[in-house]
Amino acid sequence: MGRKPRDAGRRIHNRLPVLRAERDLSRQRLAEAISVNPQTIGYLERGDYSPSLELAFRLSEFFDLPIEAIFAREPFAPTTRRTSSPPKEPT
Amino acid sequence: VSTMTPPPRSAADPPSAPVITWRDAITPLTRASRRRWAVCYALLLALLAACVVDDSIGMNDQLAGIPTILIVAPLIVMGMLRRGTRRITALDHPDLDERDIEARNSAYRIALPLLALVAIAGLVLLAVGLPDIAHSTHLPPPDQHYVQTRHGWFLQSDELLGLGLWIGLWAIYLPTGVLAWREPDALEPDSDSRRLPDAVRDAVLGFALAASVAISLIANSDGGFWVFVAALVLLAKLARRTSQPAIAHQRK
Repeated sequence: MGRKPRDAGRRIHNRLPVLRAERDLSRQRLAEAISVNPQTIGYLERGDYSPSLELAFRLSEFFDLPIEAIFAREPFAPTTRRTSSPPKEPT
Repeated sequence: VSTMTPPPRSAADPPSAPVITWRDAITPLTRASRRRWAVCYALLLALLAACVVDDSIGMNDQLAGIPTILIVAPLIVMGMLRRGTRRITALDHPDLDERDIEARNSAYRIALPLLALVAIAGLVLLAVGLPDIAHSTHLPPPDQHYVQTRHGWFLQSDELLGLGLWIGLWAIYLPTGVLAWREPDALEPDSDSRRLPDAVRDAVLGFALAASVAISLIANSDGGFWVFVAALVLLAKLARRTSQPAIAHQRK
């Protein structure tokens, strides 16, 4: 069973807002798909709630991504930083 | 606007404009607002108890000296808190997910020791407030001249009923109050809906409630109740007016 994180150091970070935006999904639609309240989706996105393993698996199956692609201990790097890295020198 | 999950709608149905009731208008969605009303409810209960036990507080011509506003306002504030917490504390709620169930269980766990404290405080206050009665008994012959005297409290049914009501009202309130205190701010809806700011709403309603209670207790008039009712009507109209542009935008 999930719980509210007690401090920022133990917070579970997630990419739900990005994944939702990529698929043009409202909180309502995502909530219906994984059988939770829309408020819970929002609390997950805001970091007010850490999901249970069961809920994490449901999200993983819904987005067809491994859990570690959705949730992480460390903050996810912004997509712009990853895509704007300088090209490697030809060897 | 209600935060409960709306029923599923088929794609063929046209989007309907949300109907904003007076209950929607006064539902506290931010944690700060819920905390204000949680404290307000506790104060109302204390004032209600003071009216019952102290004859100098309250109205002369009312039942147990309780003004109407002190009966109605706790019901309305309790309703606000329940709606503000999506009625998660209802034991027969059919649509709770894992987070809601955990929040509800946690609220009950915290509320239980608080209720014990309130019950003990009630008993102590009752013991302090009750007069010490000397109870003398003249014994029958042959010891008829011997008088046995005992000291203690003289507890009548009114006091017992009051204590029971005091504990009962707190028992109903505390799980919801704890949840209202702990729950994070509700989320802004995905749609472009507008609301009256919680701080403005709380200021108007809080002022009306304070004025209503003051008129009832100081001027000894139940007319103060209508000040509160007028504030509810005003807030409902303001909420509808505030949401109009958003509704019009949704219809386009």
